[in-house]
Amino acid sequence: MALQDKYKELIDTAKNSGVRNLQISEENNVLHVTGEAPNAQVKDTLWNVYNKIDPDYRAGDLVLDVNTSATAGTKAKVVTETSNLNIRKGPGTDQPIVGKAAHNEVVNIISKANDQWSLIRTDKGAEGYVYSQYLSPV
Amino acid sequence: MELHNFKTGMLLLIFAAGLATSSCKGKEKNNENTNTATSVDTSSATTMDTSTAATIAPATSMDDSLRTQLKDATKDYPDVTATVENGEVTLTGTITKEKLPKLMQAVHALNPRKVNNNLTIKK
Repeated sequence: MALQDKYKELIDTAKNSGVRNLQISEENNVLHVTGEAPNAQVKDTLWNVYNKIDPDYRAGDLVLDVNTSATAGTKAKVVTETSNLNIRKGPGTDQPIVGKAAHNEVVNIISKANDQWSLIRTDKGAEGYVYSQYLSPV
Repeated sequence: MELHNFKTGMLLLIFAAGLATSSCKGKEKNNENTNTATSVDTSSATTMDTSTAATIAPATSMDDSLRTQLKDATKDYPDVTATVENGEVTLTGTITKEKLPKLMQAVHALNPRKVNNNLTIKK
C-alpha cells in the first residue's frame, strides 16, 4: 500500500488520461503498473511523473509497462529520436534488414507479431517487422 | 518361434541403429571425423539437461526470453549492459540523461519483475 501512496500521482494521472486496461499490482515490494496509453504524449507524461517521484528511476520499486497500443489496421508514426527505423524480415534484431522507414514517417500496421514487434507496410511498399517502441498511433 | 522373435528383434535393432546413424550424419556433416560414441554422449547429455531444466523451468525460461528481448531493447545503447536473474533486470554502464527515459521505457515494456538501474549518467 505504501508504494501505491508513493506513486499516487502517477496512478491518478494514468486513470485521468484515458489509459485502458490499467492494472496495478504489488509483488515483492515492486509496484507493477500496466496498461495501454491512448498516445505517445500520455506515455511521456507518465514517465515524466515517474521521473519526478523517483529521479532517474533509481529506486527499483516500480515497473511502468504502459505502452501506446499500435493496433492492426491503423496507422502509426515512426518516433525514433532522429534516425530511420529498420524494417526487418522477421521479429528480432538478428533478422536481416529489408527496408527503412524515415523518422516521423507514417506507416500502416498490418499486425502485431508479439508485444515488442509489429508487422508494417510503408506507403512506398516496404513490408516487414519493426520494433513497436518506435511506433506511435496517429 | 523364439528364434523368429529374436530375429525380428535384431532386425529392429539394426533398423534403429541405422536411423540413429543417419540422423547423426545429417547433423554432423561438417565434422566427418566425429565418431558414433561422441554423438551418443552428446545426445544423452542433452536429455539430462532437459530433465534438469524441467524442475527449474519457470525462472530460467523467463530469464532466457527476457535476455533475448533485452538484446533488442538495448541494441541502440552500446555502453549499456543488461543482465537478468530471476526475472530481474540489472542495468550497468553509462548513458546520457536524455536517452535514459527511452531506454527505461524499452526495458520496462518487457515487464520484468524488477529493474535495477545502476547506470552512470553522463552529463
